[in-house]
This record gives sequence, structure tokens and C-alpha cells, in this order.
Amino acid sequence: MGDSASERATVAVVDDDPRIRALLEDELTDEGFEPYLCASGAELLQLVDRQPIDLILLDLMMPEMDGLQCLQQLKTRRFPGSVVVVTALSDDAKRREAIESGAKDYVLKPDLFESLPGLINQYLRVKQDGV
Amino acid sequence: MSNSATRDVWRTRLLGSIQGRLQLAAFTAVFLGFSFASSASLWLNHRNLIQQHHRHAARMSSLVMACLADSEHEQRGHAPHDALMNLELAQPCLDEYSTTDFIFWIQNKNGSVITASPKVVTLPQGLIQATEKILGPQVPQGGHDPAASHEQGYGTEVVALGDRQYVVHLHDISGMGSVVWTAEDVTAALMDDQNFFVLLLGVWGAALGLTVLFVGMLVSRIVRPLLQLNSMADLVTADNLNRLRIELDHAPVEVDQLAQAFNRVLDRLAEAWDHQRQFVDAVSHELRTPLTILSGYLSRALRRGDNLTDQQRKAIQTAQEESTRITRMVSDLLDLARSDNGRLAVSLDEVCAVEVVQETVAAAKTSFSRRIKLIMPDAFKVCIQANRDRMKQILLNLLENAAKYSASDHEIKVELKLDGDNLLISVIDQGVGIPKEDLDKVFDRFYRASNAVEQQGSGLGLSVVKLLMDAMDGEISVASEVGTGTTFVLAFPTCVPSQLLVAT
Repeated sequence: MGDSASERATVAVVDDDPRIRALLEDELTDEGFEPYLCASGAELLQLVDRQPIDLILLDLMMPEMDGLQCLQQLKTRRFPGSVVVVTALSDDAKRREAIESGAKDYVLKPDLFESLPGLINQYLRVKQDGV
Repeated sequence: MSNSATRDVWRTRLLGSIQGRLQLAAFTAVFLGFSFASSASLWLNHRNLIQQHHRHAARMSSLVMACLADSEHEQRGHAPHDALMNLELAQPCLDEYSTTDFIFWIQNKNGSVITASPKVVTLPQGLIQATEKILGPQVPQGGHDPAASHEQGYGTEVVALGDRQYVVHLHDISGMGSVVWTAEDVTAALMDDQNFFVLLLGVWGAALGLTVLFVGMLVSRIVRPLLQLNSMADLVTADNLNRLRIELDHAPVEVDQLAQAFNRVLDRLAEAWDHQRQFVDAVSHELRTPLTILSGYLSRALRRGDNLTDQQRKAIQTAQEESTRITRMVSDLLDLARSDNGRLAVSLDEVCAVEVVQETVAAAKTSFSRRIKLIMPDAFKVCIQANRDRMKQILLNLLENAAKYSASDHEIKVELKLDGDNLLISVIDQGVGIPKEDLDKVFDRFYRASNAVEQQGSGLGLSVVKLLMDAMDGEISVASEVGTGTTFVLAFPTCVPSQLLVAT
């Protein structure tokens, strides 16, 4: 990871399902970003402590620490990047809670690939263009 | 028509309900019992009266007989029983005992009649004839056995003469053919008897009236717990299955047992329903992840696969469309499960309707490969209270439905217009249409019109549409004609009239 790595925007994918992680890794790499994969909330918190992350794609339903707890932890750490919740759970109450806890958006898993270009535009390209 | 309908209603109310049957049975029992008791007491009363007079007459007759015997004794030259035939001997005795109300006369073997002297009492005109008519000509034969005459029914009868009534008593005394008659005027007594009958009739009517009231009240009290049970059972829905249980106050044991049995059924039902919901919830949730992976790789293949042949591209496209369809079906199932669970909450925001409709129509055009025409006023802009995602889900369901049931070369129209404070979104197809008798069922779960294409769709789409429209306080209506097409109209309240913006 030399200079080229730091120029690319960084995206953390937090999901306990390895297949989802693999899929998003492929797609994000192809789109020209640098993906970091976390299997749990704890892994993510370790990651953001040592590595600047521009966007986090965060699953809600995970064992041990769930997505909402993760959001709270990021809030207390004053995480500067954007967090988008990506979940299979279509629940308006959870959506509200997530947005209140600092998530920028709430995307349903089946719609992820439709929404991904939009999310990238909104939260990463702006940054890349700006830099 | 209405008359027979009313009659039917009454028949069901009276014979078709426990309340009616109990009332009828109780009333009939009381009616029969009371009528029998009244008739019996009337009859006994009447009989007693006659018997009383009979005894009285017999007593009086023996007095007269004793008197006659005495006279005979005093006038020794006469043969026995001569006194009966001798006016001079008999009349003093008759005079002594006859009164206006109690008349004696003697009828001899030869048919001659000795009465009391007219200055004491006048025998009413026709009494003898009337008596004879009823008891037969009482000219007994010689050697007649007095005991037998009684057995033959010589006794007491009531004789009506004009407006007077007499109890007539035959006293056979001699066996020689002469008899002593007594007639007692019982008009007053019988009048009393009649008055008693009228009084009893009044009491009878009043008692029956009270019975109707009392039985009605009593039976409706008895039946009330059943009605209560019924109305509480009616309140049970899928939503309150878990918490609603039937509780009756002061219910009879049988009804209470019924209620408890019903509650046990509800327990089992709630449990089964719970399992089913959890299952649907879990399954549809679990399906979402694999579906994400499936459609993710498919869309990656389409976007990045630069060496695909047209045929391969088409195949992958079809696969992706299908996975999108499954995804929406899973969403529908989840929504239904959640709404049954009472967990379907749809949050409402201000939504720019035109934008959502345009996006959805564009998506539907590609995923259903159909011509869809969007019709709306120029520069139309309207804000409604809705949920963006749910609105898309509704429109996609309606468009899929329209695509499914109309020929692929027929255009589907989506029309937007304002109607007062409502935005109307119509989805119009030129498809097979829905038969009239099926129209009110199209929003039922798993319902397919009788002319629907076999084995297409889950039968859930429209029920979810209705569910979501209800959750967003919108309304949906449907109009259809077989062979011409179907129109679904969604009505959303616009935000606030002042917020209606018409772009320049």
C-alpha cells in the first residue's frame, strides 16, 4: 500500500456473511476503491482506530455487537467518514433509529446493487473530486 | 316480499334461536298448566255447587216427606201414600216448606200434579214441562225400585227457564209411582259462578301477560352470556389473537365451559399463528441475503462482462429480472407477516409523487419489457404524505399485475391527476379484465380471478398493495370490464393544499 493506496477512497464493509463481503469487495475494487473487510463490529472499531475510512457499509444484524451499537461507538469516537446501513431488515423503526444514531442512509440488501452507484457518487466521488 | 321476509325474521327469532325456543317452551308450559288448572278449578267449583244444592234439596225433600208421613199418620183412614195423592193432605206440607227460591211439587202416577197453594208460592210457568223435557216424563211405574231410579240417573239437573236457572231434584219416595220434585232457584249462585269464571279469565290473562314479560326477562338473562360470548368471539382477529381471551361475568357453567374451550382453541390458534409468522419472517429474512448475492453477481456480470454474446446477456438479464421479482415477493411476504403481527409500521414523509412515479415507471419498463405511458399535466408537481419505498412497491406490484394480465403488445398507462385534495394515480391496462363477481375479492390474500392465467404470481401482490395503502392512509379502488381491461386507482391525500406547487 504505497501512495496509490492513499489516493483511493477507502470503504469498510462490515458484514458477518463472508459471501456478502466477497461480493462487495469485488465490486468496490472494480469501481476503483480500496475495500476493507470486517466480519464484526469489533473488527471495524479496530480498523477505524488505525486507518482513515471514508465510507462504512454496515450490516445491522450481527452477533455480539450489532450495527446500532457499532454506530454509537463510532459516534463516541467522532468518526469523520460516512456510514451507510446495509441490511436485510426492512423496518421503519430500525431505519429511524439508525439515522438518528448517525447513519447517512439505510439501504435494503436486495436493493444494494441498484443503490451502490448512487451511494458512491454521493459519499465518495464528491470527496475524491474535492481532494 | 318484505312481508314474507319479516315473517322469516320472526320465525328465526322465535324458533331458530335458543332464546326464542326457551321463551316459547316456557310460555307454552305456563299457558297449558295454568289453563288446565283454571279449567279444573272452574269445573270442580261448578260440580261442588250443584252437589251442594243436590244435598240441600235432598235434605229439604226428606223434611217434606216426614211432614207428609205425619199427615198420613194423623188421618188414619187413608191408605199409605195416599197423602201423596191427596191435595188436602199434601198441600199443607208443601206450603210449609216451599219458598220463592225453593219450590216443591208432587207428581203422581196418573200424571196429576200437586203444588203448594198459590198464596204461598207460584210455580213458575213451564217449570214442570221444562223439567220433564230434561229428566223425562217422571211417571214411574208401579213396583219401581227407588234405589234403581237413582241409579238410572234420577237426580239433579240444572233447568233453565227464561232467565232463571233451577237445580231440579227428583225424590222418589214410594216405589208406588209418586215422586216429589224440588226446584231450587240457583240463578244467583250460578251468576256468582259465572262471575267467578270471568274473574278467573281476567286473572288468567294477566298471569299470562306477566308470564310473557317474566319469561322474556328471565330467558334473555339466561341467554345473555351466550350473546356476550358471541360478540367477544367476533372481536378476535389475527392482530389480537395473542392477548384477547373471553371472560364472562356470572355465566352459567355450560357457557363458561364453552368459553374456556374457546379460549383453549384460541391459545392453540395463537401458538400456531405465531409459529407460522415466525417462520415466514425468518424465511423471508433469510432469503434476502442469498438474493442479494445472486442479483449482485448477475448485475456485475451484466455491467462488467464485456465479452458476453447477445444470447448470454439476454439469459443473464432474464435471471436478474427473476431475482428482482423474487426479491419483491419476499418483501411482500414479509410485509404480510409483519402486518399480521402488528409490526408493520410505515413511516410517512412528504414525497414528491411525480418523481417516484417516474422512477418506478422507468424501472418497470426495463424489468417487465413493456411500453408504459405516463400521462400527467404539463409541469405537474405534487407533494403527498407517503413512504417512498412503499409507494414504489405498490406501483411495481400494480404494473406487474397489469403486465401479467394483458397482451405484451398492449400499452399500459399510468395517469396522474388531482381530485380535490387527493392525488389520483391510475394504472390502466387493456388486459383480460376481472369478472364482476370477483371484483370485491381481488385484494384478498392468495386470490386469483377465475379467468386468471394459471400458475402466475403468488396471489399476494394486490393484498400487499391494499395493506400498504391502508398503512399510508391512502385508498385504492378498482374498476374492470372483462375483455377490455382493468384500472386501479390509488388516492393519496396531498400534503397541504398550499404546499401544492405548480412549477412554472
